[in-house]
Amino acid sequence: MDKNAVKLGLFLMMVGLLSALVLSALNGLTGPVIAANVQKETDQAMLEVYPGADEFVSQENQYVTDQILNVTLAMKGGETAGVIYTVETVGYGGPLTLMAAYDTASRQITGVRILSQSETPGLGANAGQLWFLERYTGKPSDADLLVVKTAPATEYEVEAITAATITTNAVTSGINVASAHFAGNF
Amino acid sequence: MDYKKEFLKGIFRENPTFVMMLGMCPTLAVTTSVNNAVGMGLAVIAVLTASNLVVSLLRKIIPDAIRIPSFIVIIATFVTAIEMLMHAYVPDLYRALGIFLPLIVVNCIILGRAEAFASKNRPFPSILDALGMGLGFTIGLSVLATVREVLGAGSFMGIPLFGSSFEPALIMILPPGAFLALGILLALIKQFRISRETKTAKEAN
Amino acid sequence: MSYFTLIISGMLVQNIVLAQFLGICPFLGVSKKLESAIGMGMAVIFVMTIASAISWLVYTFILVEFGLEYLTTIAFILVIASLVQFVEMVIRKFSPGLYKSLGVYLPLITTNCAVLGIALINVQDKMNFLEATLNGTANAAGFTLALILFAGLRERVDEMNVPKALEGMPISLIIASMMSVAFLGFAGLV
Repeated sequence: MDKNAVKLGLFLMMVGLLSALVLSALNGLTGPVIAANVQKETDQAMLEVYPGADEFVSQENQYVTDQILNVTLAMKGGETAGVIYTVETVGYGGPLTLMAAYDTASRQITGVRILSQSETPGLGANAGQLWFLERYTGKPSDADLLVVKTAPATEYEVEAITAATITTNAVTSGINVASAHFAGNF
Repeated sequence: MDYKKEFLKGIFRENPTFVMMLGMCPTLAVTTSVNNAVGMGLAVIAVLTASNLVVSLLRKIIPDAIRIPSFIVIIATFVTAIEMLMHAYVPDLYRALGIFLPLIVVNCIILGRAEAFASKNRPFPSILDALGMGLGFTIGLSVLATVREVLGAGSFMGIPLFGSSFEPALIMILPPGAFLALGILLALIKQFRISRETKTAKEAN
Repeated sequence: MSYFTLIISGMLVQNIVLAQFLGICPFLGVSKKLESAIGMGMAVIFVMTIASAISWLVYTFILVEFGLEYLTTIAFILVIASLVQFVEMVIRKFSPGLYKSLGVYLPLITTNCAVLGIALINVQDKMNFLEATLNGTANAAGFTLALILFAGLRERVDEMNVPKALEGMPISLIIASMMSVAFLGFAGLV
């Protein structure tokens, strides 16, 4: 191996090392800020899907599966009033993460929010809009919800976003996973 | 060295988007809204300026045989730095730009300027070159984004322009709209240039 | 996700050039002649498959192991750049014939955002090793398909009478936009 190649290789390694040092320092600075942001958004979403709770208690690793990322109890006056699920499914453009909250008394869905998605702007991305998510509020949790393309005939049917059936199916299947777990465990 | 020329060339005569046709991937992808376009433009200006500066400062030290890999590591460092800062301080823009933020690393504009200019010139002109090219790129993106957002979503910078009864041409913010808008803009620019040349030719006669 | 769905999605539904906007520079640059399009396409399939595989391995066994995810962009681009250099050396030594047809496109692939883009998407979408590699091949095949179709169309248009202002890039982009619309039709497949 000729000496020149070794010298070149060493130079490149040094540049690489310097870069890694700079970035690791920056990572130390920005990492906590990013984590705090994520926490804030999660807290915000929880208040939106289960309004009226005075405390949220995460169940940490309990109940976690490869689709259910987190189960959190919504407390009112020290009693469990609702259960909030963070579920990950696969949408049209990539993974889709949503939050769905259930009321233990009425056994109904109290709210759904999309935490992250990579769907088509103007079509599937509208899944994040309230006018769509409200279609799930008040739905029962004791059976799977079905996606239909017209106005729903029963309370187990949900109307799809026009031209974005795949995204709607993804959101609904995620909610069904949460519903099934809720019905069986709470 | 004519400093004004070094700065202005990136905006008009050597505009990356409309003349040199560099950095096409982000140009077509992030121009669905003017906000995203400007965000991407600013990120590119930041990375381009930083990398041009560093490459110029190190131009006598970097061995010629491994200059391209060295440039790439330098550029990648700044891109990752920008990614981290944006993720922490402007998370919505960070999410909107998605995968095109790390892809700034292979944006031919940045490697191109490092190779063609910064590695052969002093730091100050290199900064001007970077600012001019970056600004030209941002302007190019913004013009394209304006067309796409106004026609495809009926808004500008997120502010709705027409009443709620306006049905936007959704195709403009979908992939076909990107190609179409850019193609038509280029045709208009070309037509403008042709008419100007015919006019000067006629006047010369 | 089933492997069949992955292939159809990668090649047609989410076509890397016409839907995801990755690889536009070579798409516009190397599509003037059908021959060069085929050459570039083959080179891309080759590099992207290997790059997807190796970058996945680097991510899973080095970056994640040591909590260095923030170095992903740098690590991947270095993997790709070295891979391309290495592949070029190997092909030049072992198959001069292959080098003659593919060789000149190889260095261009380093800055092809499609390769880095797909490598990043593979790990972002949490695919396993087989899915990541297959995704690389499928997307590269989609790129080649789009490139060859585009080159064919451009060669035809070159022989036609196009208004001066539309000549070259403008009409090519308009053609690409129509191809993109056509590919939107695959959306219902998956």
